[in-house]
Formats: sequence, structure tokens, C-alpha cells
Amino acid sequence: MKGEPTMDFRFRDDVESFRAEVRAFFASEMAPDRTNEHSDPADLTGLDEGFERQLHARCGDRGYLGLTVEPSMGGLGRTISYQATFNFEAAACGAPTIDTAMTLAGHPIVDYGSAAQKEFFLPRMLSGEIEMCIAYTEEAAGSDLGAIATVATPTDDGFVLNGTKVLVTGAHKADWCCTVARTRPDGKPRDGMSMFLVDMRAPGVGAVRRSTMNEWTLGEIHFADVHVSTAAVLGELNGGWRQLVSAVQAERSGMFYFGFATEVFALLVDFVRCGTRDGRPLAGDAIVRDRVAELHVDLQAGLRLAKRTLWMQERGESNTVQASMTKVYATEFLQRLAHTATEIAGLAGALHGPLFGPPPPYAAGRGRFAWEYLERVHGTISVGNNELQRDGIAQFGLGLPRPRR
Amino acid sequence: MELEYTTLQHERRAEARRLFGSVSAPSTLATAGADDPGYDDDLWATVLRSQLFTPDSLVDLVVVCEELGRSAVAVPAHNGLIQCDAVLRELGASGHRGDLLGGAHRYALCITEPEGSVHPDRIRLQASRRGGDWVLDGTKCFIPYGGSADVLLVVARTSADAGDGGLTLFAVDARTSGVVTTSLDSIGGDRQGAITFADVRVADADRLTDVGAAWPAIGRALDRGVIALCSDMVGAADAALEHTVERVAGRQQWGVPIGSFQAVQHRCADMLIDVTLGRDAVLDAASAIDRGEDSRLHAALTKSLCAEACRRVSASAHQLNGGQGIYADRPLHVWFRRIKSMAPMLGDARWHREIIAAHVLDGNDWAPAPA
Repeated sequence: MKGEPTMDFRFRDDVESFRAEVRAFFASEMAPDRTNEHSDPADLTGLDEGFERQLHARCGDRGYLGLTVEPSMGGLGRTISYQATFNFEAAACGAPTIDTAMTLAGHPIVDYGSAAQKEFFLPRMLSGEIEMCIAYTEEAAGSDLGAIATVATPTDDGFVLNGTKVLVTGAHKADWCCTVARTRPDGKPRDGMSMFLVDMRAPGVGAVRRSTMNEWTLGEIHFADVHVSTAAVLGELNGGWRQLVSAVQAERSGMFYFGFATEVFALLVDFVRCGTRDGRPLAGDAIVRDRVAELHVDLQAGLRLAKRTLWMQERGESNTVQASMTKVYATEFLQRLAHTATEIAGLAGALHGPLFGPPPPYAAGRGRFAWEYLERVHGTISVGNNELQRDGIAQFGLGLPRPRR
Repeated sequence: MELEYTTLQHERRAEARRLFGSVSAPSTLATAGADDPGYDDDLWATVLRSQLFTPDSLVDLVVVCEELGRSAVAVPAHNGLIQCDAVLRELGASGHRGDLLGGAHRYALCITEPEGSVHPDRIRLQASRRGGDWVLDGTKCFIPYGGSADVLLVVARTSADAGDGGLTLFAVDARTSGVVTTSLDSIGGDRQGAITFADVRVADADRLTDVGAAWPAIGRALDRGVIALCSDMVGAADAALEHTVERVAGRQQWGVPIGSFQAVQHRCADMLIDVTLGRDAVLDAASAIDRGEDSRLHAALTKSLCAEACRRVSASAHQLNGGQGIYADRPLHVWFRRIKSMAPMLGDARWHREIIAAHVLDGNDWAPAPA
């Protein structure tokens, strides 16, 4: 039919203009003379909390923290392509703006929050005034949410929380936490769980930092007789399971993975262009050239997966399978990239450096290759491990039968 | 961003599926004797009449190439139609193009030589002046269905210029004295030929390009041919995946479908990822070339990805189908063969990765160094 749009993998012009705007913003905000003083390897972002909070405030001023939030709720009401582009650009320059309060806890609050909760949280999330964390996982409840043991016992005016949450990103700097607990001790777990918004300064809340293998810390949150009011319940009482499943799904646009990959690949290309091996230029080594080209091909391929994920979401199609494929591919690609970069760099590739601050001596890629090699281990595990993702791809994408479990 | 086919493209796909749907690929392969052209004349006439493989738009073309690969039908669609058409279009050779599309003659594009290189520098077949004519000496090799063509489009060296200079294209009547074709047994079942030219006289009127000026146009045409081959491989891989899913969902062992096992499911999931990567690489490249972007890098990105991804899919398909998959009367090996034989055509994955490396590392958009 005439006038029908034809195949085109490029973002629309307005999205590309937005990309240019975001890139210019970060180029100034993330300039080395601004970040150097704020290096903090104990934080996942590589930067200290003070830097992150002031950057979030500046992003808030520009509306960047609520790109896809409805204007009626204080956001900019843009398409998901804007969010994905923002995340890609942030990742490509290491800006600590991917795990914001809004991206972490925004969806459940927008979707399930009461009027009072929205009124309190949304303006503060959108302005960058508060930081949040999501605390769902427990020692015995990783992939299997049904095993959650944290309990919220009803009282006259609310609930008392008891339990321990683990592997919480940014727990130490969060003002509020979004968590889930059992509110009905008997019966099926999926009928007796509820979500809560908990003030991290409330009596009985303890956050302990535990170092990961790549130096930065994850939080363990202990709830010891923490009193919360009924107003702290997010969404439906005993309806937490359903809400949680949709929250997990809303979290996956995938594009940011390729922002990280783009930066690391550029460091690798620089390294190969300048480096030597046994006195000969790396850029003249047929094997090195082949491996670099392969990574380039795979990176472009991954971007197409992410683009189709976005495109499906914007058309209102179910993109669960496509998002799973993107997540699996992206996280495994990042491992491959880190492996190849460290391998090409040899001994200098095993020297580790912080994300920001002056580069360590003799380290390849400013120490980023080694940092990546350690860092990318968890990507295939978190946000729904790749085994579960492949189960889903096979069962929902190809219609294979559910296994006996 | 628009990632959906147009209505017309959906219709083309359905038409191709109808055209090839009734053809049983394994039996085609099994019955063709040594003297046969290697394909069915009536089917070929139908393919030509359909005009499905000679549209202006590359996206329109790849949509039907995927169906061709899915059915794995043996016809000279790539070298004998798509690639020849792309070359003749580039050259504006409308007389030959009319003969090709109308079926008056069967064409074969003769570029590669026994060394197997697609680097223009490596073309050694010599064309020398003799009187007002030309004389060709040398050997072209790995030409799919080369024995059944009656017009050979031959790229010959007319001077010793390095790089892509010094090459000239001729149209040679395959019955000319001195042309001898030897049949080669490619695992793709595509009746490849090695064609020797010994003192073959060609009139200057059959020279299709200016002397020494063949290459840039042929290079662009081959880039289109590469994308079409990739789409064919994706179709073959997707068919192998579909066949496999059906098999593992139905096959019971220990009272349950083997497709319920995680080891099987995960391998199927990886196959689906590979097919998706391949198809979107093809569509991205084809749409970019349709918009007028330079084709070289797009072709390189697509081929280096599809050659690897589709091969992985076809290998996994065999593993998951188990013993029944190795019988010749089962279709699986036809996709397996097709993908493997297409992987090195018009440059293997490594060749195309070298083009990418030159782009990424050297900022150079052509000229991998000749060996």
C-alpha cells in the first residue's frame, strides 16, 4: 500500500536529537575534572554518593528522571525509546543515572501506588531528591519468589516486618526501600505476599554493606521488628506476587548493556591501534583483527535485538521473549567482550583500575578490561538468570512443554 | 524505526511460500543424475515468470530469499539470477538482462578461480587483444550450476593493475570452442562447475564494461548478492529450527517429551536467538542499502554474522533430532548442506571480518591486503 512505512532500523530523528542533547549534557557533567575527585570504587557506579545525588538533581531539573512518566504525574511522557537512549548514553560514559529511584521503584509506584504514595514519592523521585532500592531477594529466595520468608505481621495500626534481604543494589545510600514480605503465613505464597515502602531510617532497619568480588558493595537489609503503618503497603494487600512479576518485566529495555559494551569496545579498539605484541603492532595481527571484527559484528547484532525489543514495546506487542533474548545475548556478549579484551591485552589486561580517577600505571584500557572481566560475571545471574530466561524463550517463544518440576 | 514488512512484502513472502511449498527438497537432491542440470526446468521457468527474485528493493528480495532457503529448493537463483541480474543492472546491460529475466538464456556469473578468493586482485584469468577480438585464458571455479548456463559472464584481467583496476567483464557463449566445464561435487547439491577457458575467442561486442573498469560495479552487485545469500541461510536455519521444535515436542522418552528437558530447551533458545540475529542483520543491511547507503560494510556485517549463526543452528538441529536426522530421506541434511556450502560463497566470514577490521581499526573502507 502506498505511504506505508518501510523497514528502517534507525531511531526517529527526534530521538536522535534527544541523544545528541543527552550526550552533550553528560560530556560536560562527566568530564574528568568533575569526576576525578569523586571516585569511589566501593559504589557500583564508581562514584561517591555526593556526586550521584547532585547529578540526579541536575537530571531532575531537565526532566531526565521521568522521561516515560505521564505528564499528569510530572514526567515528560516520552516513548520508551527516549528512556533506552538515555540509558545507552549514560552507560556509554559511566554516568550513575541508570539505577535511579524512578527506574528501580518507579513502575510499582506508578502502577500500584495510592494517591498519597504517588503524591509523596513521585515528585521526590522525579527531582532526584530521594534515592531508593528494591529489596526482594533473600538467601533462600533467588529465582524462586515463593520461598520468601520475610514476614509482615499485622498489628492494630499496621505491620511489623522481620527478615533479611540480600543482594540489594544501593542499599547503603537509599532513603527508601521497596520490599516484599509474607502477610499471610499459611496458604500459597503467591496469595499471601504484599509489597511495602519502608523508610530506611525507621527503627529496626539495618543495612550492612558487603563487598562483591569487584570491590563495590551490595547491601543486606535486616528488618528487626520494624513497625510500618498500613499506608506503607504498596498496592493490594496479599497481591504482591502479581505486582512483582509485572515489576520484574518492566525493568528490561536492554539498551544500556550495549552502552557499556560500546565504551569498552572503543577502549579495546584504542588499545589495539596503539599496542604491540612481541614488538609487532597488534593492529597488524590477523588473529587480533579477526577477534575485534567479531566483537563489532556481535555488538551491532545485539543492538538490533534491543531495538526490536523496544519497537515491540512501543507497538504494544508482548515483547517478553524478545526481551529475554536481548538480556541473554547482552550479558553473555559483555562477558565475551571482557574476556577477549583481557586476552588480547595479556598481563596488562589483568591490571584492575577504578572506573574514575587517574588511570593506574601499566594497566590496559585504564584498568577497565580487568574491571569488566570481574564485573560481567553477575549479569548472567541477576535480573532473572539466563537459565530461567532460556526456559522462557523455549516455552513462550517456541511453545516447548513446561518441564516437570 | 519500523521493523515490520510492508503489505506487499508479506504478499511476496506468501507467494514464494506457495511457489516452493509443494517441492520436496530431499527428493530433488536424491533423484538428480550426473547429467541433469541439477534442478527442475519447469520449476525454474515458474521462478523466472514469478519475477520474485528480481525486484528493485533489496528488502523485497530478501523476503523471498528466506523462503527459498526454507524450502531448500535446488535452483540457480543466487548466482544464475540474483547476482547476474545485479551485475547487469549496475552495467545497464538491458539486452542481456531481458534475456536473463525472460529465460531466453541461462546465465552464470564467473568470478572465483581455483584459489577461491573473492579479492579482485586475485583474478588471474587473462583477456588479451587479438585483432579486433579478445582471447580468454584461465579457469573459473565453484560456479553454482555452471554446467547448465549458456551465457557466462566472465570477469577477466586485462591489465596488471593492482586493487580493483584492470578487470573487464565479458559475456561468453558457453558453446564457444575452448570452453570446458568440469562438474564438482559440492555438498550444497548446487552442481558447481569449474570452467576452463583455453584460447577462447570473444568478440569485442561481447565486452560489457569499459576495459579495466568492471570492478566497482561488480563489487556493489556482489554486496547485494551477499545479503541475498544470507537471507537464504536464515531461511534454511529457521526451517531447521522449526523442524527441530516439532521433533522434540513430539518425541517421547521416559514418558515425557524430550523438549521438556532443560538441556534441549536451552539449545533451542540459542537457536532462536541465532535465527533472530541473522534475520534482523539481513533486514537492517537490506533496508540501509535500499536507502542508498554504501553496501560494503553492510554486506560484511551480515555475512560474517549469518555464516556463523546459521551454521550453529543447523548443527544444533542435527544434535537435537538424534539418529533419525541423518537419514537422506529426512530433510534436515538439506538445510545443513545448504548453509555450509553458502557460508564461503562471495567471501567467508573471515574475509568479511577482515573488511570490518579494516574499517574499525584502520579507518579503511576497502582493500584487505591481498595474500
